Amino acid sequence: MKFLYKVLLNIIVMSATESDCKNKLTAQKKGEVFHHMQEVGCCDMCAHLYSGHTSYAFYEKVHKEHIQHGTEGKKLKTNPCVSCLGLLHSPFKENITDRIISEIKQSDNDYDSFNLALTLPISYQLRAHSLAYYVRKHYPKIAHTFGGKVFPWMTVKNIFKVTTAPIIAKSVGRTLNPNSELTINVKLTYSNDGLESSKLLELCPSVFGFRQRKCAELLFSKKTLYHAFHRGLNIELRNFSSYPPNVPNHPLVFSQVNFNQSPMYCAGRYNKYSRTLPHARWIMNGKRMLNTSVQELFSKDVQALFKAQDYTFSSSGREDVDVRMLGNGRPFSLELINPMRTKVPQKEIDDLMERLNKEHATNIKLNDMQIISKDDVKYLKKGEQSETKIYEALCVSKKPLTDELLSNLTSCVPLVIEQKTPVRDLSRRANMVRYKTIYSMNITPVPHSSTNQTYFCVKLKTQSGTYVKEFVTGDFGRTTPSLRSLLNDPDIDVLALDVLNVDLDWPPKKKQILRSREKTQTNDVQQNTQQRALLLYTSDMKFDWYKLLIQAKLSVGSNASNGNFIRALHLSRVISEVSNKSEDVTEVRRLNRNKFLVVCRTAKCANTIIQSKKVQEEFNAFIPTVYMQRSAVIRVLMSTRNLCFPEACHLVPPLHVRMRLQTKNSFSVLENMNEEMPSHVNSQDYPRLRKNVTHSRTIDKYIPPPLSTRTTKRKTVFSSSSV
Amino acid sequence: MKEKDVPSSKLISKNKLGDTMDITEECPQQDSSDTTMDQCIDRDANIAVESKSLLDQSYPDFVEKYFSCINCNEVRGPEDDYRVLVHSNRVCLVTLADSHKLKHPDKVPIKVDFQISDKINREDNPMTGKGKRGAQQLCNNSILCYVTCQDGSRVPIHAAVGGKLLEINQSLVQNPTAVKETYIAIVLPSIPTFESFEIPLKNEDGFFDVDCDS
Repeated sequence: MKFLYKVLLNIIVMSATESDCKNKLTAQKKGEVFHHMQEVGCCDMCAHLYSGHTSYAFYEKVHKEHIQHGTEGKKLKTNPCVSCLGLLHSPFKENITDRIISEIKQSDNDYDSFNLALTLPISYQLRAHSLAYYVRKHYPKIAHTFGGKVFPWMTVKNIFKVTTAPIIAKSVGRTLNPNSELTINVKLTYSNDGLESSKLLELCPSVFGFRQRKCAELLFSKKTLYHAFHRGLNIELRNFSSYPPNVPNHPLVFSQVNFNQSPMYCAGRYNKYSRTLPHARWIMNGKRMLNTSVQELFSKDVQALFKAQDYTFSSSGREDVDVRMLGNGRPFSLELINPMRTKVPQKEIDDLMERLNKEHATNIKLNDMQIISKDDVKYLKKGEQSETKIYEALCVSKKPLTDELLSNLTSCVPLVIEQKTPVRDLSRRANMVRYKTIYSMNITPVPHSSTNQTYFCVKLKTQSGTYVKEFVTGDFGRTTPSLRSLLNDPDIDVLALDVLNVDLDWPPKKKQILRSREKTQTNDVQQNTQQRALLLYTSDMKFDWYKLLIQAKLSVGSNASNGNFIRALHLSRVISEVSNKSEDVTEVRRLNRNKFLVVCRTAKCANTIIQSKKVQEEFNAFIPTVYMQRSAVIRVLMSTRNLCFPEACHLVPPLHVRMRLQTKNSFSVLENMNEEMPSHVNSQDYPRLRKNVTHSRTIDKYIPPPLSTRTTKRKTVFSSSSV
Repeated sequence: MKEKDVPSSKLISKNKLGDTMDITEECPQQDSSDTTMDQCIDRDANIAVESKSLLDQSYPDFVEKYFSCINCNEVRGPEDDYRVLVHSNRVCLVTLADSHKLKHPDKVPIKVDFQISDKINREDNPMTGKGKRGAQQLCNNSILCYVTCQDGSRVPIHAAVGGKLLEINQSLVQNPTAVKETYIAIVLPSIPTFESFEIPLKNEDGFFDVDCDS
């Protein structure tokens, strides 16, 4: 982020200096163009735009002058501007802004800040293109400031955002923030749009003719226009209408406004007490089986509370129709799409929860509902894989239970079972084998009156994602082992099943998590060195290769990228020094800005690197932290698939490695830095340097990015200049 | 509180005394009518208590509960009968009917061979994803496997239903005698085929259950 900010600042500075020198040279010319464009029919702002002004500050200044003087330049034309169709000059400008203001004021949305996005008609694009050519033809030198491209870098939209958007923000009472969660899309239409753009179809059928067949409604878009402009059709296109474009009779008209709020998340836990209530809508053969579902019972009400457009319900796992969810409930989160109310107090949520609990007392119960951030939702999905669940199943059998069998059962946990996708789920899931762990198992007989049947309760603690019913019945031998095979009784069946507990700390305690995050961030580097430096590869761990992860300090050097390339090289040299035998180190790789991966062939070599002070001291920038990545991978494999054997090693293929540095620019950096580098390393250790590498980007002339990607960049530039 | 005096309370005290205590505490205070009381106990009750109505009853077999059977008789030649278990989600399990020739007590299977021809082996089914793409396509008289018996005869087993082959029972290779009991293949018939099945309503002997109100 910091880096990006710097780049952006650079761009601003660059463009400012650039335009300054150009200003000196062509100040007169600019004036000339300005007047010429006014005669063609441009408003003040557009005339400035086409005479090559590129800084936002300039337009803000002009705008202020306009306000102070009360008029816009010399004359007030009755017709809208040729270029902006009245977006930037009165009296048409006021009409549009007034409508936007009133729409925002009327809306239900209560977010504090907003970002304004404009949708302009196609005619505007065509006109701007045509005018740019016009300027270029008459004043080739001015056109140069457009950055080599025909289209000027600044656009009418940007000028509108600089000049008018703050006024809107002020009168609406909200702040203008380009990164706001609320985006207000304003659509502007132009009555002659269809007529003017239909000429495009005749001019370049190669672009639009194809689309006409495919999608008639979205025939002309910014993207297709961009295609057309860059297909060498410019010569024809620029004559699409009168050249320069004729003076329009109608201004831009406000057509509609869309509020686009980024989604909010509501978290909680639910209990389910009914055995005839599905988790989600249950549709079989196109027919709805049951009227409601867990999510439908309360999602609509929550959606109404937030005045959201739509919702998506997600929970950590799901249970069958005939399974109750007891205990502290199953964690869920509700994504509210485009909510209008963003500041719902906790009390209202509690009230709603109470009301729903009373209403659906027989079916569900909600707990701990609250608003959470987007990051916490990831935690829910992450927990889905790691959590454990406790089940209780009422089973029936025709054989009596003996103590011997029971003791056998309790002794075989933890048990890893192999489950093929059960037959009942085969229609919606891929057929594959899943390995699940059963951590504990308890059987208690249930007293009963019948003589030929035995009833018992099985309490299971399993990994999430285990099909419990199939574990009991075996599912035609597709789950092995199963309770049927363990008890050697082919008649065991499940009568009823309950989920007693879902072991996930949810909803997350916000403040605690935040605090712990901050702590880990600040102390991360130091703690890591102290704790992880002690981790050594012991002799009983034998792998094909050993990986070390070396982490550098965050803030070193000014030119971040180059600094890292040099450091990667330097690191490899230091390491080869430390580890006497240089062939033991097979790879030094730069993973990202401050992480490096070192791969060794022997444990001894890895340990010497871990222990050596040289790596830490000689190169102050480095604080090595060590991951035993290889062993971690295998440990994970062991835990999930019960592979407690040496064969597990073969699952991870050995890496055939050679000395290599991944970034090609690093070599070119080296060429320039010869003196500073230690010279006692053989040059043969490293790959040969390619000569005459053309890598450096000279910044004599700034070329703006292409049209399609430009808008986003400009937004950010806009933010830094306006703040 | 009434519930506690019912004989089933013995069961509660034996199994989980703690849980029953919780039940009474968790009852909402406002509504003290008998119905909500019952509901409340019903809600959080121990599983054995909650489903006590299920106890001491005859219960349906696992297969009967979830599958309906259709009989495919004389698929190719006499005594070539199959019993296909159809799950409500369209998935079918092919098993041998009692009248199949392999069900004779003197036929002892000793080998199951999934190599149908030089090219086709039912064991390598290149099916991927939940869309079951690349699965082997079966007709109703496609051969699933050959079963070699002790008396030297080689009996082909047919698919009985056409569709995508989802899985072949690979455990049969180790345990050929299980052919008589367990499923041979899991087949997903196409929707038209599935709809053409005349699925008897949970009745094995081929008669439809008809509700007679009179």
